[in-house]
Amino acid sequence: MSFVTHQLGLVHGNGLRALHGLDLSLARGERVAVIGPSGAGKTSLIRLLGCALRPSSGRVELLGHNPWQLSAAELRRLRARIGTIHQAPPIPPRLRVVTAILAGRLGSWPAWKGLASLLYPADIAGAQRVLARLDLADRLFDRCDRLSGGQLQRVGIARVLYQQPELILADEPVSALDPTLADAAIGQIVADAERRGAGVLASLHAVDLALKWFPRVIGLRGGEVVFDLPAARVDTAMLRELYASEGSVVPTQANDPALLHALGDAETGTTDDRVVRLDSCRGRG
Amino acid sequence: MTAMSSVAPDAAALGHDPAARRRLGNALLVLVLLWPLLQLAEFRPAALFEAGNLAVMTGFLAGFMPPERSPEFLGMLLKATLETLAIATAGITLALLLAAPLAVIATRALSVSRIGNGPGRHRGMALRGACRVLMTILRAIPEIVWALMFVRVLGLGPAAGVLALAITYGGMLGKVYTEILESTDTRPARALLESGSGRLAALVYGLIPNAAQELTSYTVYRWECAVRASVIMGFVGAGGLGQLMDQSMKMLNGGEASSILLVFLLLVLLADAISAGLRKALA
Repeated sequence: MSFVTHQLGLVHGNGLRALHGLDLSLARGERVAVIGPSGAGKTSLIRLLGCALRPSSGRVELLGHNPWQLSAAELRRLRARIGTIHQAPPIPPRLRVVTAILAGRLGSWPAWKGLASLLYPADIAGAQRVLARLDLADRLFDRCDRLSGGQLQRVGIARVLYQQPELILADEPVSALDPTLADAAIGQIVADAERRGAGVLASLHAVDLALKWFPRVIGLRGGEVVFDLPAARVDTAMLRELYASEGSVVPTQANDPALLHALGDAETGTTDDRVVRLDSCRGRG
Repeated sequence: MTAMSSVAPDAAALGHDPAARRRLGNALLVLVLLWPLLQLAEFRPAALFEAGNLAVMTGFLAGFMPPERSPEFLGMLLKATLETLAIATAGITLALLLAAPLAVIATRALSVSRIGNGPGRHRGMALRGACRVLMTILRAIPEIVWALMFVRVLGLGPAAGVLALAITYGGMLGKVYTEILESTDTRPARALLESGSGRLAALVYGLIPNAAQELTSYTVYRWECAVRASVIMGFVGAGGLGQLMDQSMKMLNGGEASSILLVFLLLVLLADAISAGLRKALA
């Protein structure tokens, strides 16, 4: 299993209850999208699954280990097998794109290699390959503060693709991308995970993206699971109910309800058919 | 929602700033604490402008004019300046070697065990505490005391001054490095630690790119301070400008003293230029 949680709960330091009694699991190679209104606990869930927070109650098992019973060295090795795509890419602006991407493997490289790679990039070709998939190959040696918000977000995705984790956690990974690019970037994450048999859990703001790319969708509201269903069985009434606190407006990329209907019962083809050619979006985002 | 109800809703409804009262209270508290301190320090600025005192000050400053310009003295001055630069640079280099590892151990920004209260957090906390105490001890004892101690071991000369600077400034640099690393954006380093990278890798990939400018300008500023501190080192025979200054003051030679002060001014300007250049290079 990628992960299993038992009655997982999280209470923040200020007493705010973020998550309550979650029983979730994800098989190896399975993909699931988490949707829900803001404040639903999506980010908290991702931080718990990324060993960045310790649960207040219940327990979590990641790639067959209970992270909080491991020794420091074992926990470090486990963390290196999990890759988190952050909504705001945690990349220092002065870093070059190539360095920011190669940093993805710092968890598996020996310390000397990480240091030596600052003197001369250790794997230019590898970084180039990953970046090309996100149509940024020509920005390899640019500094990150020369990139737009959307480009930086794609560099953040490229870092995690380069890390090659067994479990990919993505926290609103395409929030700064326009619809075409967002679709293509999610497609690349999915294609990479399928190729390597990695599990994916992604929180998404746009419900249409979730229904298109993820066979399974979890609806989260107020820190509790509202539904956990195959994408084909998620209907409009459930979504309206999920987003009741936001005026029952179901957020989509183009904010076009018709799009949602079209996608809701779209049958799923093979990944390659659906991956949008990124070259067609050059110069955007 | 729970988070929102915690900020006094009645005050907010009335349009008051709920933090205003506490701000005023804190300001009054600072004044009440400061007043006795000014009394204790015999702070009476009016005394500066009494006629007799003004004459005394003018006389003192007039004694410094004109600066000494004889070739013989300028030769001594050049040699002393080079010595001072050597002492300050060697001292700062040693201090850096001492401070860098201490700061890396002591900074909370690189603590792996703080992430989700992981294993080894008590040991980590103890180690960080021990480092902070060590740095406090190193810098709490003035460099002149260390210098007097080392003079007894190593004899009169620059070596005692270099070691004294290295120890005191090692403590200062370490403390400030620790704090700079904590006050820059620590999310990149934390994200790296969360994906299993080591502390050193998280430092150079996550913190240094953001903090390099601050770290450099503080280090150059400390080098400038070390140049000035060598005046005090002169009193224990550490050589350099300090020793020259000591001699000139003892012989009441104001002209020589003012030449030396002009050199200090130039060195401070030099430090400024170096700092600006390095900051630009690291921008």
